[in-house]
Amino acid sequence: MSETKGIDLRNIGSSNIESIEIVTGIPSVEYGDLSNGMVKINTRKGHTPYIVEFTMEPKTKSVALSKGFQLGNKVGVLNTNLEHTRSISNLASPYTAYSRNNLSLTYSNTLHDSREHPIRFSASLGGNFGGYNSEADPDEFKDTYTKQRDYLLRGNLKFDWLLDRSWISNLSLQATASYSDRLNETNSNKSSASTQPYIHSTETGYYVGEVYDENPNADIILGPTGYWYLRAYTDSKPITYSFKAKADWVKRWSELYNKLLIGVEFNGSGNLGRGLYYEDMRTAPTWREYRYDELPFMNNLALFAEDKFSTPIGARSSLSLTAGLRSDITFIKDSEYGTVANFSPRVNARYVFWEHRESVISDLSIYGGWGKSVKQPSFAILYPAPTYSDRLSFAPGTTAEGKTFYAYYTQPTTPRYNPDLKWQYTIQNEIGVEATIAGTHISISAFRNKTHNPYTSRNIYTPFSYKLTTQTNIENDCTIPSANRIYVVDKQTGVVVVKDRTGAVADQKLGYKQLNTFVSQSEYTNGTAVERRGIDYVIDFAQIKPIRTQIRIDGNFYWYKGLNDQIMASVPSAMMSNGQHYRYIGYYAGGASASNGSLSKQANTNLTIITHIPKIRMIFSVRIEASFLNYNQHISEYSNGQMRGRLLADADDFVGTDETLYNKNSYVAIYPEYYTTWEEPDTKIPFLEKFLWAKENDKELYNELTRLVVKSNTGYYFNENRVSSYFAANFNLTKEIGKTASVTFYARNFFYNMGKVHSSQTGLESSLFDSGYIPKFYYGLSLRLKF
Amino acid sequence: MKKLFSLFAIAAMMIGMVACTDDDDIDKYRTYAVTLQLLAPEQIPDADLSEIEVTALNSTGTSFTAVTDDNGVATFDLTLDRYTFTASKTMANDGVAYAVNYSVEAIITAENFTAQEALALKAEAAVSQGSQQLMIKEFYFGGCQKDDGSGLYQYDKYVVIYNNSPVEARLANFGMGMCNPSNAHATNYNVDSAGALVYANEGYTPSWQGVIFLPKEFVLAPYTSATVVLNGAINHTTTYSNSVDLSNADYVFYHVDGFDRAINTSYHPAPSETIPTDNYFKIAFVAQGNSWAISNNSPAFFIFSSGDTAIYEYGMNAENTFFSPGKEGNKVYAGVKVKNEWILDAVEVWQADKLDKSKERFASTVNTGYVTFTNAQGYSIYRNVDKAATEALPENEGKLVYNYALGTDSNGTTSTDPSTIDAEASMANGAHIVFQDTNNSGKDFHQRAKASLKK
Repeated sequence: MSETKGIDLRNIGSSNIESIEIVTGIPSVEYGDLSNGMVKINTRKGHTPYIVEFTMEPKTKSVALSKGFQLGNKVGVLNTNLEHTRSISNLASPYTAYSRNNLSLTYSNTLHDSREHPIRFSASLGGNFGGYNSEADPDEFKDTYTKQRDYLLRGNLKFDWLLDRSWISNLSLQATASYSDRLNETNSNKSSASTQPYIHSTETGYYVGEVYDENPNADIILGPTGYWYLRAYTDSKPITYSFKAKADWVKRWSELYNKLLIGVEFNGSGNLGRGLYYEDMRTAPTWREYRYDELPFMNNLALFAEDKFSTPIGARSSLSLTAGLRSDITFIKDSEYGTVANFSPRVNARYVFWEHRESVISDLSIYGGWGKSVKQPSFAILYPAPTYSDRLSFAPGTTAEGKTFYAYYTQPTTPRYNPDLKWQYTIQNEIGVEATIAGTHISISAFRNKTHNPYTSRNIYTPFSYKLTTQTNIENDCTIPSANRIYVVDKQTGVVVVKDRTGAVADQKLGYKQLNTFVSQSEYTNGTAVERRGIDYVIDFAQIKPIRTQIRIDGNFYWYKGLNDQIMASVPSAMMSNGQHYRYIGYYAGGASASNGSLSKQANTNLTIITHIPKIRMIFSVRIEASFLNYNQHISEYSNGQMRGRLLADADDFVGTDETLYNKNSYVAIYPEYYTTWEEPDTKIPFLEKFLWAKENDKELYNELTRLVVKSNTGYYFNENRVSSYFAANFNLTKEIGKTASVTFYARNFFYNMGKVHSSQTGLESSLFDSGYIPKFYYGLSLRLKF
Repeated sequence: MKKLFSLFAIAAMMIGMVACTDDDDIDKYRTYAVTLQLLAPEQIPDADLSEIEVTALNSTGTSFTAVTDDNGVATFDLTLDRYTFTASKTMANDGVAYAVNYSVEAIITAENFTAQEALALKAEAAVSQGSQQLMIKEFYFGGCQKDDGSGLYQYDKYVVIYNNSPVEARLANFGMGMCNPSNAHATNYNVDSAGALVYANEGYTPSWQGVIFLPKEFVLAPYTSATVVLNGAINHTTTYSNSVDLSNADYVFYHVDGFDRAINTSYHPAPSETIPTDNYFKIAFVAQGNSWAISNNSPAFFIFSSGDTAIYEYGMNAENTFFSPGKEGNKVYAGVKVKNEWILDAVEVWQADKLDKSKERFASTVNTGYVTFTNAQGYSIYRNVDKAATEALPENEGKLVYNYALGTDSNGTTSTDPSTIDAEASMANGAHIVFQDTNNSGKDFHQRAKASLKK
């Protein structure tokens, strides 16, 4: 578990929701990078009756109670919500349950200033305690368990002051903070007949295993033999805080309207936890400490300004224009990237032809927008975590007591700082039209987004050599009896010296074998641009009054193409014929994989029917989600459209022909652009010409170079995949009973669609059951009491 | 007086005549040097022809013997007669034992010696059908129960190789392999749409992930066993009392830098330091991973000898790499093509409760049939004794132990040695056991209740 922050969605209560807003398209500059959209959950506020909700699904049971209390005249409203939820992951084993107990209190009131202008104020405090405990599970082995505690405290303060002065109309302030305590504890049973090396070294060098009792702080500890329990803790305490202030100034000149918004937002996140640690170093396996509380906080300051201007045009039409600019500044103390800043401009325009007109087309408007949103690099890029590579450097025989004094060569590496790393940004373009025709509301929008400089990572390989000493060297160079030996390894050179415990024999130096290989270090870099296009439409038919039914058809058509042809290095995992590690590095356009991108198209259409039957106080709705086009094609191309790789006539071949790779039902070979050797890492040798030459002239070199050739895993890999149409239906039924109760029954995929879809790529049919194409079948019942 | 003198004269003359007339009779007792050169058989061009006893049988039934010298020449001093020369020896080459017989008839007459001092005869070898010397005697891979009841322990696998012939076995390039899928009941990607193995008629068997081999000559004395440990050659019984003590094994597979990444120290711990490092088997590894993992419930395992071909270079050559059909780019399915003529012995094991899903992994020329096995109980697969051949050996008189009681009841079927001879007890008594090898794993092996190395 390497998570340092982030909200666990499991601790957000699902009751007490007043409304959910989904923000897509080109958003206001008030929000940062939303190229993927946002879901905004508004909890209940204001005076509400007692509402008790019970929800039962096969794996989840939950009960919630909420009430909004009016605290007397002008004192305000207190909304309270209590929720308890218990969900299990495996129906056959009810002991593996996650439970959530949520409490939230929100006080809201509207005050008035000296000029009787309202100041809306709300303060809320909420918390969650819950977790998971498998100790009672009878299927777990004796004394083993996983325990998780999930505590959260969240606070929020909000002011909205309607000043209505000449220089400012509204002032809004908001502050939030949250602190969570997530401790995960596992106890597992272990056993071993041989001593295993437990590596804790953090500096480059050679280290030999030592017995815990002789040196509890050794870099490599020899693990125990026999049976024992291992207790591990993962302590994560994410903390977040944010402060936002925005002010707007609204000006009207007869029919013209202008609103200027400026704001500032500051947020920060960090973690006060200890990370992964073990109770007893005697049994802690290979592990290096990585404390979250030693990592710096990530702080972000955003400044934004937006102006919205609207004017009527003629009798019925109006035009509104919005233009905004946002700047995000991210800083992490001690990050090599320093302070990261960017600018994201947005413009939006909307032209309303007419509204509420008495004709067949009663409303008509068009809109369009353009925006640039920048995605700052994540914490993992700005402050990367070290990784360690450990290579076995000494393997003596096992002693009669069962001990093996392994030695390893440790190399810590951190992703390399890339001074040329550019920030990823998305240019969004959008146009749309909305109309109401004979009571039916239609909206169609089209978008085209291009993400530039997407973040990606690649490996850099550096040649190095290390020493390997084996039992053969002991047989040749050591005369000290095994029981008297003390092995000492030089941290820098890796040479093993055997000392005599009794002092009778002088130190003996052991011979070794020199192994040449590469150490790899990752580097964050930018890939090639990715493009997305689509059309979304919604048709809301006017209600069919006689049967009180609303019908809505919505859908989308989506197109995506992404490929990366940046040069990336790769070393295949293979041994050479002479027993050494592989000594060539291949440099591939877009990485050492058969495809370097993909093209996909989708067309979905959904039909929703909602019927009200007031006589029996029932509402039922059916939503059918259908997919008509699900197309996917693996791509292997350069940015200019040229094919990357060759088509093979036979799966066993390594040399192919230069033609299109797609839809030929054949294997494909990808070659590196060039390769380098261990001895000369700077000499780039063009691959294909050398490979073809070696095939005729140097069988040994040809044999070794074949390992750099990447082949597609199957003959059908580059066939286009068209999945035949499929659908799923969701059903919802709500009935009110008496004055206080209402029952809702819902089922997702309620036809339990077990039909088959045909994939054109493989020519095979597969069942929709558990396929991921349609949601899994589940149902639930919820009862709400309002009094 | 005159009469006496005449008698004496006649007697003297008679004596003289007798002495003079039998020229041939004097030659009857003369011996002549006869050499018999035994010729090396075709199958064993550099056979050791020294110290072979050659018997010369004359027309009256008397036999003479001579022993061949370093060049395979036996020298006799024989009288003129008709002789039948015979010699026989069991010879081995490349793991195959042959019964070699020589039989030559010759009439030795005076004419043979007019031109030379000695008569040189040659004898051609008549060679019987070769029989494999080496075979798998025991294969222990199923693991045992851990002492605390937490389940299976399987890092104690080993195989015992046995020399089933009266001659020493010497193999320059000895190796072992296993087939894919490692569990017989797993999805088998090596069968075509008709269910037949794609390599059934190709003359090779792919060894999954690579082959292990001994870098020096493998030598095994007649009627003896050698243990090759496939996981840890350590004493497992200090922690797992149901397991075996392998710290004194003969050979172990341990190739520290043979894998493309750091060796798995749990699956392949460093062997006991008492085992000399030139007894370590190495690996020609063509897949990706950090261990050579043999199934713990239903492996298909074989041993082979590649003659003069060096195994490592052969295995690492990309032309000898096999990929399962449809998985040609995927190293997980890579294997080394081992020629069927190299394979000395193979065993196919199926899991007892999954027989209906299991498929054969050897071509029928290599092995047919399967032995049923239940894992995690400390059972091993042990070869059946060839009752007739073992009882026929004269040196086994009185040493054989019967009433074999180490068979098992596996899933309702009893599995035991039909010969009822307790091989291990008999060998402890000094007997020479000849095991059965019909190339049918179901007939040749049984499930043994206890690993033979377990005390």
